[in-house]
Amino acid sequence: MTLDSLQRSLASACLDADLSDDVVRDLGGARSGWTLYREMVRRRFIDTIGESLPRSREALGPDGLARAVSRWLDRAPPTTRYVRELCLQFSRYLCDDPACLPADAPPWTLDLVRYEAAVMEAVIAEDPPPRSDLVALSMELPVALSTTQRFLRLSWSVHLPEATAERPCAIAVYRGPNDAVEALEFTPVAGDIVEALRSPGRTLGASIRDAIEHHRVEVDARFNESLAGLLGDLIERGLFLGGRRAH
Amino acid sequence: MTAGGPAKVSGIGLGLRAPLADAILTRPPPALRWLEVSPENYMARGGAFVRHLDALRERFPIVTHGLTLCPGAMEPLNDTYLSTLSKFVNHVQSPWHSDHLCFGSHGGRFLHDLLPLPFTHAAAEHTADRLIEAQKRLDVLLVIENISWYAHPGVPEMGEAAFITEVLTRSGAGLLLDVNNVYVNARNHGFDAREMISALPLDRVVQIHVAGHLVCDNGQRIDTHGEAVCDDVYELLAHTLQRTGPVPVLLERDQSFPDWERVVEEIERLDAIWQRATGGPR
Repeated sequence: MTLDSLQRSLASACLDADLSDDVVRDLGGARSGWTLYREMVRRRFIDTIGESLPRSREALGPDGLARAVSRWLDRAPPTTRYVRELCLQFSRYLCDDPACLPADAPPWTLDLVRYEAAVMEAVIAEDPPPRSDLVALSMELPVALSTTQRFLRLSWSVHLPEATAERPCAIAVYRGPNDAVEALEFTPVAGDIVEALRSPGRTLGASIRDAIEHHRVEVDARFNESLAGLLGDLIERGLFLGGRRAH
Repeated sequence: MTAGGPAKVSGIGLGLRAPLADAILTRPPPALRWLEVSPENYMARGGAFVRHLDALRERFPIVTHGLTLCPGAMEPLNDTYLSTLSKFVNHVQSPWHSDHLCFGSHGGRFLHDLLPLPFTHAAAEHTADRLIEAQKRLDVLLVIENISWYAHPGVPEMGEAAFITEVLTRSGAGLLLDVNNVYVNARNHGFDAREMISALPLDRVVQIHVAGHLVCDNGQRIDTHGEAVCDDVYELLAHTLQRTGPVPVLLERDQSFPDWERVVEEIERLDAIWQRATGGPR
């Protein structure tokens, strides 16, 4: 066996759905030794995911979480070197393969996993780098969004643990200036505006116009006042860094 | 600690983990002289975690101890990782950088564990070549740590001490000697821990690790860093320090965190051993 073959076999022993007799034979020695490695590796993944997504762990149940992690390891094993990013890769896998959720899991479980993963992303995101292209917000310019915010559309209000209900929600999960992570729920119009601004080059004015047309909003003094309040709030919370000057 | 080059790292250090950070800042015992951090926990991220480290750097010298260099792995070294790592090591002014003599990734998959390499000449050569390549990208000495292993992949061509020695000789790397890992391996595989220590090139030891381990019902010992250091490991540490001289010693505690007072007791006991064994100045 070459060094590469031995390493491939040991990786398979730990990640594949089963520890096969072929892999044990390739590695040599007693099966119990490779079973121990398999259990240690898999337990570490399950514990790490559970600690990163505590409410999801509760919704899935210990067995459900273990089964979902096992399927993830078998079908799309982690490619990140950072432990903190494991829950993000797991969350993406669940979105692609929701069938691996336990049948008796609450219906909001997938939204909850996505929400908790977004919280983790906001916690660990790199601070916004110093930028030389920032100016005041302007309708003619795109908006520089904070690197520490994530926009989510949910079918269940899982960001409200005490009042989770089935209703469409548009939220931003963000890390504020004091490093605390919070969730901000938008109205449908505000959600469309913020979501559109994530498209590269999309200006603030175009995003607002599209939302107005889509929702058939009457533009009056009340609307303008609430739009100004929204933009000021997003600047104050640090979600909007300012206008992004074109080069 | 933040200007004028790396501060002197001596005596007893502690692995920095989030649940310990507040106590380290507010109630550090005099015997605690330095901290060890895993760069992967801080690289390419922002937020409170990073700011906490900046506060601790004002109080303690920092030594970096990596988790994912995977020196024995088959993939090419990752340029982005090494570049980011080098910047981090320089930023915290670590006097050396250590990682583990193992592999932990294969085919782009990360297993997040310390997996054993076969004790063969081919594995030693391959690992040493990668360490030499990694050393070129870092501005500080690269140091490798012996791991706990529970099964040997393939057919060994030599013993563990000879394998470690060959990697060190070929690569020029320093040795982070984990005496708990030596003890765990000795008990699990039936060899004498002191003989293993004697067989290693002790003049290459840059740092020592000490930790607790789990004893399973079947007697197998698992390197968990989640238990108190056992008396045998304290004794092995004293034995080792008498042979290496005043090498800095690091206490690892990564889970099942006890009251801070218990951690302080372990630090003070390690310091007493270090003082007795080395006659080193405080």
